[in-house]
Amino acid sequence: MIEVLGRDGEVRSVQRVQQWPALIGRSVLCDVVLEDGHVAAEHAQLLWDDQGPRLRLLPSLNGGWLGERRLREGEVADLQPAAAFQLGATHLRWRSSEEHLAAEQPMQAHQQRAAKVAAGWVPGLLALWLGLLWFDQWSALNPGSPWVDYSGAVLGPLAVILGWAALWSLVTQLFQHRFPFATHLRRALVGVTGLHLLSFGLPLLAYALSWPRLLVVDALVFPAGVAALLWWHAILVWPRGRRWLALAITAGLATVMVLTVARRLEQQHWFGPNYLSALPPPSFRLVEPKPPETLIDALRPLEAQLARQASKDNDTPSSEGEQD
Amino acid sequence: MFRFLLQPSARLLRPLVGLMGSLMFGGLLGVASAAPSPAVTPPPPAAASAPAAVSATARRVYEGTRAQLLQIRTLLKTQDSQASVGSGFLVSEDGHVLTNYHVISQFALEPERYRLRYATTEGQEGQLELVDFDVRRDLALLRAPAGALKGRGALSFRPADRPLAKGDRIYSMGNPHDVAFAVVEGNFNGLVERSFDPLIYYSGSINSGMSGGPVVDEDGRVVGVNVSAMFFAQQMSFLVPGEFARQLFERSRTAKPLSAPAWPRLREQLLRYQDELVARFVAQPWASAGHSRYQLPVPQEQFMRCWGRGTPADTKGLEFQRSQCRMEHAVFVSDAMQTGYLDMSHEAYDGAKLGAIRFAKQYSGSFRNERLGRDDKDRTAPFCKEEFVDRAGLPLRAVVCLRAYRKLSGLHDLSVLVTTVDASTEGALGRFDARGVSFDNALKLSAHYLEGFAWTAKKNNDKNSSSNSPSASR
Repeated sequence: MIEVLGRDGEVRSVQRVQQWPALIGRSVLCDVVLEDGHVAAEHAQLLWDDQGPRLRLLPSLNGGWLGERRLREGEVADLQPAAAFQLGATHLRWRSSEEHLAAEQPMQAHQQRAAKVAAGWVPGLLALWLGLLWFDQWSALNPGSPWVDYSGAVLGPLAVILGWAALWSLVTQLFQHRFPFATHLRRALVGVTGLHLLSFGLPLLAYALSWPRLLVVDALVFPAGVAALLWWHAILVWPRGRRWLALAITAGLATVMVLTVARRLEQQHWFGPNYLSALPPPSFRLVEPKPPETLIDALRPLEAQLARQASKDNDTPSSEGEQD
Repeated sequence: MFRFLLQPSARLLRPLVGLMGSLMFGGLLGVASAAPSPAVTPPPPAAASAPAAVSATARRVYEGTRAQLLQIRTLLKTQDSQASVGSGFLVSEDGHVLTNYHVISQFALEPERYRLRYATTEGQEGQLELVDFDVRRDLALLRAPAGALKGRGALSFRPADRPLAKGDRIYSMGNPHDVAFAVVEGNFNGLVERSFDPLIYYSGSINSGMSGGPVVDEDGRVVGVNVSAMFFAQQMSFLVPGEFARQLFERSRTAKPLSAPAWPRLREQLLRYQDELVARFVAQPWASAGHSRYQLPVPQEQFMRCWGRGTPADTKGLEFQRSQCRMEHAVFVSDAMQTGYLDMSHEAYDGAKLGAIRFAKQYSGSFRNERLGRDDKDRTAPFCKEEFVDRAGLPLRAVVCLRAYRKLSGLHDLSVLVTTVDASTEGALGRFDARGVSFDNALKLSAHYLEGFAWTAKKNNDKNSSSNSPSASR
């Protein structure tokens, strides 16, 4: 059997070889007819003798290749099982009836009906996320602000996320010949809503327990979450590349982390802000306030730490007047 | 925190705050860059400000002083271009010269890169050495090589037992903007009020380049040394009292010249200064902020000046009242560093119109807005500790941050941020900054600042039972 391959390597058509030797070319008299202007009327011949299947090139302008090897006119080459060759601009593959047939492949998630159910989550998620955006804006505005003040804060991110999902869908279209907009949108929404809730909840928890270093989690989870989201989008585009995608994105994440730390080596903390600035209503506070001496005593170890820092060289120009 | 609130009061304050800097930044450095094109520099103010009627006295005073008057130039070691210029005056027959520390700070900190030269009114030039300085008073004692300035005489100081009276005419001398030696007539107006260190308020025009020049009475005796001027003000200039200059001269006239960078001596002087500053500050009780719910720390206005402002009465959102107090006089160390001052402010917020959630958001936003500085050439990054603190029943969230000086080991910048966390629609946010204090003094100041917070006396009685209840405001 001769398989004619398309540009992406998929099988475009299969032509059964009925008799030996078989002629391949553009002419209607050939046994395998190729629709390719770069192929001669009679371009090549398939033979089967004691040595098995073989390919012989007939006189032509463009000739052919077996794998990466250029075939000369009149040359006869053995065809190994599943050998790929090219005549003119057409890619072909030899398949014999003696070859072992690959097992039936399971369908991917998006090919099943369940994918449609998952897409049903999108409106709900979208409403939740837009609600969070609205709440953010509401709490920042003074009472009585006109509704139009909310538009930018809600519609702006909405436009961005729709564009983001569309862009990923286009990339998927390019490689997978399908446009899974709802799936990309759902994944993006899960990502941004999760990060939003985390950045909302962590400071509250840190405040409640007076555990400011909890914000480190926020500082770490944010880049990690963005990286995970990228990976989640990308595996839709290259489903067979989960491994190397994970590797590449982890490497990128690690680079970002290393750069962040390198830039903050002289800071007190490698990640997170200098101090916790969240001041939610008093009912959120779960711990009892301590006497002032506790804080003053806790400062003492800083003297040695600061002295160690001060002994380092630093060439950053001073920025006097940056107070306030 | 207060970025959006700051402008008006700061505008009033900043010129004076930068007063040491004003003469230097606008002056010394400006001169250096303007030197190649002298036509651009403004005309000497002496001609403009000296009324004709008394110019005979000014002329007599100048004639009597010109032999002791010098221009002090800081030059790069390897070339003849001047890095900065100021003025100075001879105080002994041995070639001792007094000027401002800020005039020679580049040389003091990097003697391997710079050299000091003098120029007399007749244009005679020569080398100078640095003998000693008083960084707190911004004074420096220099010396010309033996015999170089012999026979030019010396200026004497007006005796301390003959103080000047307000309105007395005094004459400031120097070389403004490197244009020409000038004499400027003006009036003694007493000492600057609410200043930690005595500073003479002189009504006369001092310009950049005159720093370190002498100010003499009608008999030609030194009463002060030009040091700074207030920008965007008319004829508001400041002088270091002559007494400090005399003390520096008496103390160090026989000392050996400094050859190494001056950091160790700077450190020693700044450590002594901050001990006195902190001791005097901590000894003062807090004044009342007049808030109905909280006692908030406001300093006695002995050496700090306070400004306040609030939101307009018809504000729709968060209402606040702000108070800022600061020392307006800083110690000049280098062009990039001024230190040795205290600065504090607070804002009292009323969010009754906002509700708890909106108030929490805006209150947090204000707290987040605080800038603590970053690591640079002179100081480390801020290192902080934070905790919920109980002040006589009033719960607070307090953050204490410190930055250490790299070249002045043992000195720190302190920032304390304090917010009240007892009410859901009301709160107060305070900030205290101290520049250039020892670690122990930083702790002392932090504790002292925290003590300034409490319930007001009235609230204390009915508050104890419900101090943690969120909605108990008003």
